[in-house]
Amino acid sequence: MNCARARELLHPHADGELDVAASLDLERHLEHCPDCARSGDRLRDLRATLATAPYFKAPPDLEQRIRAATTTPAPSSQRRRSMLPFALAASLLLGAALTFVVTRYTPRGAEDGLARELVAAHVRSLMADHLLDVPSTDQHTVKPWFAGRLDFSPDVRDLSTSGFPLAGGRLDYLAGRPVAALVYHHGKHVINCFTWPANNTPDSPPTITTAQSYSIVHFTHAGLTTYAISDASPSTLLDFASLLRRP
Amino acid sequence: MPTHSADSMRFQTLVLVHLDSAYNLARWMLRSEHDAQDVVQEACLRAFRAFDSFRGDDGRCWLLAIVRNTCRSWLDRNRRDAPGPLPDEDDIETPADPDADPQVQMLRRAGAQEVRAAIESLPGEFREVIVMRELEGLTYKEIAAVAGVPVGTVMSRLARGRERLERKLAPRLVEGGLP
Repeated sequence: MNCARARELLHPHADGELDVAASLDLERHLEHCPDCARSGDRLRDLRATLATAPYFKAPPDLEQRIRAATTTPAPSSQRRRSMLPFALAASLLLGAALTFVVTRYTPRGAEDGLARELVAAHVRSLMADHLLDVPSTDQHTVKPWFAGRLDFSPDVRDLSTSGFPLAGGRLDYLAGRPVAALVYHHGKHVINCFTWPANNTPDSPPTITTAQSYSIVHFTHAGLTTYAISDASPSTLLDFASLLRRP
Repeated sequence: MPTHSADSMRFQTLVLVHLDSAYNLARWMLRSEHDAQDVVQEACLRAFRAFDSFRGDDGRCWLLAIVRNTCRSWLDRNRRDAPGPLPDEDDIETPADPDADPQVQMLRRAGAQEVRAAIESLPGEFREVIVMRELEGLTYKEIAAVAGVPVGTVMSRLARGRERLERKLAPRLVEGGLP
């Protein structure tokens, strides 16, 4: 290796960009060439000196301005894609739902996970236009619909004379299993009534809780555990539960 | 243009975490705190609008490339530090120095202000690769990607920039004499 080539390689060598073979060649040359070795030393010292140059960090207020400007995206002015309005609408809807769930639900107690699931399922059923798989006010239509779709048979009742007309039913997924969701109306309120096998849990009387201003009533009756959720008043839901537990 | 808050969070996590690197590069390229702030802000908003095209490999290089381009446009617009013709290779001489050791010692003594002045006096093409290599620790390949030039060009600009810095920092001290 001649000196001109060695001087060229000093830089990639110092920067760790030289392959092993070339590095060995260069180091052999430096052992026998004091001039090039001195150049190598000067480069090393220059780099150590350059490392003392100031490093300019972004001022905090600049970072705040940029974060603010990239947190709420401004509407694109010209190249509006055809899907953009839908995407915006979807994100607004999602945002509204999240705000709803996050701000209005105050977790407490051990049942929080399930309560959260119940609220989410209830809200989703109202939002996503997926309230009913089988819209029918006739329990003799709704009940058989679940046969073959679930490994149990939900208790479906006609409570229209008591002010809780049946609207229909659908499949849902709660507590890690498919469940029956029965939908009743009470005035303008929608009641989602989720029910699944109680797995040998003894019968229990209705207990009422609230989550995010929704009322949730829970009871176990005749081998089925049932959670009913609605924005109707707690006392209304207790009335509803007692109707469902009537022999 | 990202329209979901999740994209906004991704942008801040993958790209904006490198804001210091972006600002440091712009600050050295423009040599002005005020201009660097304006240009970095503009570059970050450009990056955000173009975030759909980011493929998620390297947020720092992606942002630095946009910052560097924004700096260059700004410099062209303002006709300051315009990229003049690069000096001939003959322009650069290896300093003839019979005894390296005193020079090395003086290099070490060069204060931060002199180092800064020396780097700032470099032509822009040399200065940007020196900053990316010596202060940001980027590899040749990364510098090449940011600057949009071949790796060979990065190597030669880096070597020539260093030779200039060595000449600027060392002889001044030697000629000025020791305190």
